[in-house]
Amino acid sequence: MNPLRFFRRRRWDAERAAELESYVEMETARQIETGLSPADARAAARRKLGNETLIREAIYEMNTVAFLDSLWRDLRLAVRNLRRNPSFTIVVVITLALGIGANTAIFSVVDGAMFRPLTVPDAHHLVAVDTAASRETRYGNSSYLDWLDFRARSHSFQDLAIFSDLSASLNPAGAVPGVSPQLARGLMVSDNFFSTLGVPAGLGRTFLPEEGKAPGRDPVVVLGYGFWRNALAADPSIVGKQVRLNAHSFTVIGVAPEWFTGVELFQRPDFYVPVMMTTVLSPDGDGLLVNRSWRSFAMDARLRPGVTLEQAQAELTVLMRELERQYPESNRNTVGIVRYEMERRTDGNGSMAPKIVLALVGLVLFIAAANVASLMMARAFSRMRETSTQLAMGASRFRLVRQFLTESAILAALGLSAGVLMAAACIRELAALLPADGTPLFQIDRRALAWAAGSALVAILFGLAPALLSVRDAWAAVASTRTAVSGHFAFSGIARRFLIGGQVALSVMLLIAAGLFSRAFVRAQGIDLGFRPDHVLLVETDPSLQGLPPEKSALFHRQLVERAVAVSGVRSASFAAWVPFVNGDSWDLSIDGYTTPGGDKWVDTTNNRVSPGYFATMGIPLLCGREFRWQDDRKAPLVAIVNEALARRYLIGQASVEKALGHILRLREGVPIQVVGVAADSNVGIIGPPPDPVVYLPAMQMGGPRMTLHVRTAGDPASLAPLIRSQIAALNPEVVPIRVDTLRNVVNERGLAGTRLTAVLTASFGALGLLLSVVGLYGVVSFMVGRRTQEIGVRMALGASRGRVLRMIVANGLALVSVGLVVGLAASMAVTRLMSDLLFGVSPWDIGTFVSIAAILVLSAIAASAIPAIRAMRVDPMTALRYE
Amino acid sequence: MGRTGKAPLESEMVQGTLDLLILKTLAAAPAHGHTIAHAIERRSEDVLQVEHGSLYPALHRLEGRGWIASFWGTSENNRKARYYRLTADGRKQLLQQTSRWEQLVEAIGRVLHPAVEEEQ
Repeated sequence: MNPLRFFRRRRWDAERAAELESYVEMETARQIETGLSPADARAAARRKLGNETLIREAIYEMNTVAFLDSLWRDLRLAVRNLRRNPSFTIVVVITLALGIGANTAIFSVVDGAMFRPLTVPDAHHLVAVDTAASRETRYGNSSYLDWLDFRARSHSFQDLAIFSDLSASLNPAGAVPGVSPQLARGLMVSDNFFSTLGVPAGLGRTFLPEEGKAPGRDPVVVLGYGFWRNALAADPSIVGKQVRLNAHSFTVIGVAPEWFTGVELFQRPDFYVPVMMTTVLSPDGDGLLVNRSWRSFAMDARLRPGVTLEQAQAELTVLMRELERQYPESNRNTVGIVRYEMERRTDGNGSMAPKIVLALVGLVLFIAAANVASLMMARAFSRMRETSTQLAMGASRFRLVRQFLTESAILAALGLSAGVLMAAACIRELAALLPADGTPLFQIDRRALAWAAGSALVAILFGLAPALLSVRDAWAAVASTRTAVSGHFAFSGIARRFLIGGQVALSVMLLIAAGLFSRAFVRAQGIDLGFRPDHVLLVETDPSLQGLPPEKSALFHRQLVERAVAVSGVRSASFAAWVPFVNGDSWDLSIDGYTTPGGDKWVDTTNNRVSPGYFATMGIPLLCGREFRWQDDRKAPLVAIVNEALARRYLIGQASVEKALGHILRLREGVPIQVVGVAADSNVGIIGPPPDPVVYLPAMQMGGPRMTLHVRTAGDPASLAPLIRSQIAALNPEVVPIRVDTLRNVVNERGLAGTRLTAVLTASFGALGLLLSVVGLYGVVSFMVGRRTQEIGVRMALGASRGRVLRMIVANGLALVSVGLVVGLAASMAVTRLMSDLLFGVSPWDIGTFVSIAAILVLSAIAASAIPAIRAMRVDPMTALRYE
Repeated sequence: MGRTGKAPLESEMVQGTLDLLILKTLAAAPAHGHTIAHAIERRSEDVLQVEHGSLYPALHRLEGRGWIASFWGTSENNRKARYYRLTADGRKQLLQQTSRWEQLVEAIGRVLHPAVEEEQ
């Protein structure tokens, strides 16, 4: 072919038209000679010539790069078709965008947040080793001394590393002038921490083996990448400079690489120090290094090549027995557990919510897909006449199918692009909902995107089925549009009923989950934490950091309480070692007269060491007995207050709480501790599950040097912070507060963030699912109403009232919805029980939620059916009658 | 009517047959589409009932290959018409294709009447 012809095909076409016309004229003349009338002659001539359009097309196509040209033509026609029907196009694109976007975003965030290996080389071979004080305990930390033995005796592991959270005041002023000290969250790690994880230094070096040898000897620190970049402006010459941690000078030896996000995905540690520096950094001094029962370290390890998890577990079990024989006091009945590192992070209670969210978002995708399919079907049917006419005019089937596919491809492309934009926007929004510190950088997950886009395509193709069928059966369709189509219509009527019913059922489930979670969130905000979180200021100090001996530190805290109480606006003040949701500790405790069902006497018990006035300040009711007194000091007999959970579980069962008074508890040291009071239960860590047993001990007997002052105020607690700071300065100008915060803030940020996220996510999905279902219902009902326009016209012409016709159509819509609604409600009842742990006491069969969701759905169905019905009734009956 | 949308003649006649007939017709003298169509019909004693329209794509194709050339002229009864004439290439093609066609017919004949040949 002469390539020039491609560009001149229009002119060519005109020329062909002229040529064919000349044929017709000549042939007409010839036919007239045979005696035909001019009109008949012309008709005969045209018959003899054949289909002029096809001839011209055949020639036209010879002149084209056929594929490109017809593609271009198909695209233009498809765009024109889609623009002719903007509401259909917009609804399909939005549905696709919502389905693809929401799904991809949620999956990316949840997967990125939860189900991700650590950012270390070969993370899949990293295992977590937990030891527990007894088989009933859920804490899995290990002691430093046990770790030393694991390292020395086990053969399954290449290496084992331990680490423990450590908050400290980090003052980089020595390295970078003008930077103020800030509270930093770091890790105390074994010398082989970085080498075990396979993380090289980003700058400088990591720890050397000798830095894990002598307590307190090597004040060296590796900074986290984020801290180095944000607080130190990525100072390239930081290595070798001095920073102050809790007023101790440390030499910066390196910076962790940017890609290393720590051992928990949501915590990017600000700094890493050797375990040996616990002697100066931790309030417990060298206690962690010498007590086998102080289990404060998490342990990660790498298996030796060729060693299976089962072999490692078997060896660990044997090792734990040996240690038990050797150190019966501390290691009685202890067990060791090896599992893959990611399993430890995703096994717990906390991973239930993300799994539910993933399930919900899957439902949304399904609803979106069903929606698109039913919209496509409805459209194909409304175009059946058009299609058969096109076929009758001689359009090739192949062309028509290609045309349908092109339109679908355009829809898919638009939906996909909108979906990607939407996913990106959602990911930004979602990231903002997560705790600010150490939020990983989320990216669109390609697998999720591919999956969502794939489902959307399947939906489109599914919806295309009737269009393809109509092409096949066009002959029948031409013969009699209505009867011929009815067969397919019945088939797809069933398919569409099924799709709508399924959508409604799934939406009901989504909405009920959303309703329950929203109620749970409201409940969680107002939940009785067991303490009153408002109007409490928290100020953490540690005078030992300034070198004060233990007795002086204790005196400092006591004097601070006395000064704080004198400040105007302060109702009461006290101090405690731990703050709920911030930090905490558990000790092995034995109770005289109690053994666990497993025959063990030690129970791992959450403790707090508190000053007199603590329960009043926190607003924790004392059920019986007495508060601590300043006289409960090191010279007095040891006393304890237990919470009701502890009393009921270990001491008194269902008896009245007074019976708990006088019971004797023992720590590992074995000295008897008498119970002098029972406090009401309160939450110390997670909101939701029943409170753990807690033992409170007098700070004057058991307290360390680091304490948090709790100040209950009449007004805004934060406004009193400067006054309290000045009291601290007046008492001892050397002491700098480590942390100043309000209890409400702590509860909101640490206690409720996850719940809020779940509630917001499920509510968004619920709303999204509802929106999609309503759109789908609207589409189908308006399509059905459209098909019945003639019937409606007849009814109205015969005098049916508007109200009657409206009722008829709405009743049809409701009938479509009702089956789905019933199925959805029933299915919800079956599955919501799985979420009951996350509902803060809201019943999984909450009547109010079920009823209101059902009502919302019915109302939406009425609206979705009424709008097209009203539109149909506005049509003039005569027009309606001519409609077919 | 064509459900497939293809011109029937092309699908019903051996590929290239129509080309050959056109070339043969033009060998005598230049002609326009109408004349060619009727000439083929008449000479084949109405055996080859072609839809005249399908002639035109074939003409276009042959022109594309350079075997025929076209020009606008005036017909016998004074109408504007597009005439086609054989080019030198076309003449060569006609000879080649004619001999190939004859070989083909002969071959087919042998296939269809083998027994007759053996008897002789």
